[in-house]
Amino acid sequence: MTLIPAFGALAAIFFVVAARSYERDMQRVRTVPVDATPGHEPAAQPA
Amino acid sequence: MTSHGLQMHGGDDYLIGKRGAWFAFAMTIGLMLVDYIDRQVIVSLFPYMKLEWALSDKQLGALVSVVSITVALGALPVALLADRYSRVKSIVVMATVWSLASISCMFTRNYSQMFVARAFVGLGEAGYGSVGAALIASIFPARMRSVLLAAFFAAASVGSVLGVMLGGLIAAKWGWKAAFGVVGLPGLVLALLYLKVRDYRTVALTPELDRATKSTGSTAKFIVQALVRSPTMLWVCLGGAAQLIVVSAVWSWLPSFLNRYHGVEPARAAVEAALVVMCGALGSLVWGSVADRMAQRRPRNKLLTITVLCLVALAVLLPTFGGTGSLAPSTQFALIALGGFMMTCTVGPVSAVVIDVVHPGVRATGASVLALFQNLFGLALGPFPRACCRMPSA
Repeated sequence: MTLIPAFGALAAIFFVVAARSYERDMQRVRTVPVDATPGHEPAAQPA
Repeated sequence: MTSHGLQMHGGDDYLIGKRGAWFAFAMTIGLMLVDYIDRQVIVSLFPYMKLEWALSDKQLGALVSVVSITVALGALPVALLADRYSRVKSIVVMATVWSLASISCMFTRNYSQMFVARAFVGLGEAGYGSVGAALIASIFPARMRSVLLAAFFAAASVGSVLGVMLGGLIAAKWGWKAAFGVVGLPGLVLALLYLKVRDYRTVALTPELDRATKSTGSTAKFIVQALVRSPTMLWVCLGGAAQLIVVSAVWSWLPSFLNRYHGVEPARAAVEAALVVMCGALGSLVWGSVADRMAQRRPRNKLLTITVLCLVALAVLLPTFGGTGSLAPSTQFALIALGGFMMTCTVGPVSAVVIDVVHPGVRATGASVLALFQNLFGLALGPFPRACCRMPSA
């Protein structure tokens, strides 16, 4: 149990590396639209 | 947001309205609780089953393993199906299957029948985490992803503890078989109510992605290529798995550690270990929220936040376990609880990041790839610390 927490250091290294490409990878899929399925729309307001 | 609920992928609005989104969240998290209650209830029934059916420990263990195996095998195909057809309908089918399978355990007359019933529980539960995560992530603003996904996955820990507790209580009052029936019913009710949850439309894929997701085999090949091409997903999956080794090892070995090093009775050690698990569930919520707030300044802060938190958890746990013998037992336990609170910091943010970087048309599939990494490298390796650290043999 003494050495196992050291895997947290490995995790930290991986996350730092991931941070370098995260925003670029996010931008690549950002423009894909997501729609809701038809649901109960609010009633139209009278003029 | 348009009047038809059109949201850009990184949109910062509720896709189906605030009320609809929170109803969906309550249903989804409720089913996650029930999922793990149904999964873990059998653990507390082992003594009864062993007595009545003269089962060996190996046979009892197989009743747990078969669920894990069917979940692992079914997760990717189920997630793919859910991505391409319907998240809500998939979840309704899953919950119905695992709940009926759980209830059927009540009517089994021998080990073989129980084994088959448990396999169906696993089949029903396969992919639920990934599909539920994809739904939650899609209907809420992106700025809330880490904390909501943390809450969703924390429900698994709470459900596990509840399952073991409820099994023992129900078995003592009404017999061990009744426990399966009682815990199976809420899932059926929730499955019916889940039909009222509003889904997001299946997202059209690029021609390349469409070809790649025609079968599980081609999807698997595409995923490997995507991991190589999208560095973020690969590194986050590895990071999430590495941190889960810590979580899994601490949770698995803590009762034995308390018993062997501090002479704590097994029943009390189990309760103390459950407390640390609950600290972890709370911690995942708190740190998920912190990661979301930090990401509002700049998205990559989400990853840098959990980097720091992983190192802080390491700084707490390493000297804590290393100080066995020199620290007072109560002090050591308090520090273990603190470490337990810190070490689950990655749960929500890691899932959020994976969903942030995959095509919205395969969100559940992306989440199931993360789950695969975490299960194979994290949860599976975690309980084997003896090769690399000191633990007295029994």
